Amino acid sequence: MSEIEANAIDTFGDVIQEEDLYPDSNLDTNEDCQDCD
Amino acid sequence: MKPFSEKEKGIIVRPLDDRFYYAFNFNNPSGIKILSHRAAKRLIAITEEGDSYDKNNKIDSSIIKSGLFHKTNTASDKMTHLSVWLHVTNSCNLSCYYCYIPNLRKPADSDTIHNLSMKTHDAKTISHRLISYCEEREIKNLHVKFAGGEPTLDITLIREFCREISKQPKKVNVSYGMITNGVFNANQVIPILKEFDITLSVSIDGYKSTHDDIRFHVINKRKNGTWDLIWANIENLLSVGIMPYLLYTITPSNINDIHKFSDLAHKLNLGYRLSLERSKKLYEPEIKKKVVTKLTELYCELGRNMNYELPISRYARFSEWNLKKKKNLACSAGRNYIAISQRGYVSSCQMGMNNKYGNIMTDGLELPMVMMKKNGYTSIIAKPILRNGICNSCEYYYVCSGGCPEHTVNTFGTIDTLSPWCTVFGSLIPVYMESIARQMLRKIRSKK
Repeated sequence: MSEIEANAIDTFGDVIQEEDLYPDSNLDTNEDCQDCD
Repeated sequence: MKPFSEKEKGIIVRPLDDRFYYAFNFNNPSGIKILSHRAAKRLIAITEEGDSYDKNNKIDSSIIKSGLFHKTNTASDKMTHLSVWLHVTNSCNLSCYYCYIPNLRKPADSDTIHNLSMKTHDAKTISHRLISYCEEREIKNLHVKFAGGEPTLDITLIREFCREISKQPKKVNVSYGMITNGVFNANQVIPILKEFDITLSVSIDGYKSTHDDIRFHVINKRKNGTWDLIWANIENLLSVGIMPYLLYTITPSNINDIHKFSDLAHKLNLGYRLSLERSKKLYEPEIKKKVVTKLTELYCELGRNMNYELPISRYARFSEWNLKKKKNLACSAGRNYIAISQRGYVSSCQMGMNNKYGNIMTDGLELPMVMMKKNGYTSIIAKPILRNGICNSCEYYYVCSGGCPEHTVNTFGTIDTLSPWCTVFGSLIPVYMESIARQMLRKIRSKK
């Protein structure tokens, strides 16, 4: 296992989602879909 | 794509480099997952080699916890929010050829704007009807998007509407947005945006000359491009801490400029959404091929080099795609999304404002909502679980969901056929997914 992989697993686990990386971002809001959702 | 076992049909696992992979479930979209090498091996063993999950295995638990195997449902009939396109005025100060709003007066002169705008008394009545409807149905969140036409042509009406809402009991959370072409008087508009916390979307369709060719206003019978004026207004907005969201409609004439536009937006930390033109015009395969090529180049570049603090899912969105949602239909028109005209008529969306399902001022909202579900034209849009066309068998169905339904209906007369942009969607989906995965991986690698 590479150092980077070991670090990633240490920090985030073996499966990483966008929410883990961007906890403060509104990735799924109405604001994004400005004219259709 | 490789065939899937019946059990986990729809899950893909793809390498990003020799240590990391990404995974996605097309049948139950819950976002892109980045996997360590050992997690990818386990997932492949489960999905392709028939291994069983082991709840006591730490890696298996992580995979399950990520939601990759969750059976997500498409939106239910229970409404949790209502989003309203409030057509403040049926007039615009520009004359973009591909505008999809039916019967819009453009360009409107100052004398006619008043006659084409919502009346203040009507706006107040509409605000009460909306709140009542939400309260009766226990809908907690109401989002009102001021639009048109160009809504800033009647900014005082917007202020009156918001004030009327704020006088009512706070049983419903009301938020506001506005869709503008950016050609407005900043001194009049910005104070109202700030007072009522109105988020702003600005349409920019090209880069300088290509934008100006499409988005211009006519002064003394001469075309005047709006690029400089819009960016001056964006500077004004940024100076008071308002971050507009940019909407870029891709046409054959501005497809070459998406890179430059993207760079400019991201230099200012502004997010954007790219959409494909929704006119009835059908483009030749060569043009669609060019659109695919340019978009592929852009998203490959974004995946490799875009600032990883600005997630692509938000800062470089494409169309109505949301990789975290399972959608039978690209939008929620007729269910928790409606358009209300300047005279109070209710439609399933702004593109279908010729089809009126009652008037909110005289009928309330309950009746129009029922009418939309019963009407032959909108029944499938309002109840997309009924869809039964060629899209249903596509592996990408829950991602692109057939594109804008009104666009398809307007072009081909039915929703149960391919979107005019189907080939573009199909080519771009894998590229878009990988670009998000590559950006995520760069962010992961940046953590020391």
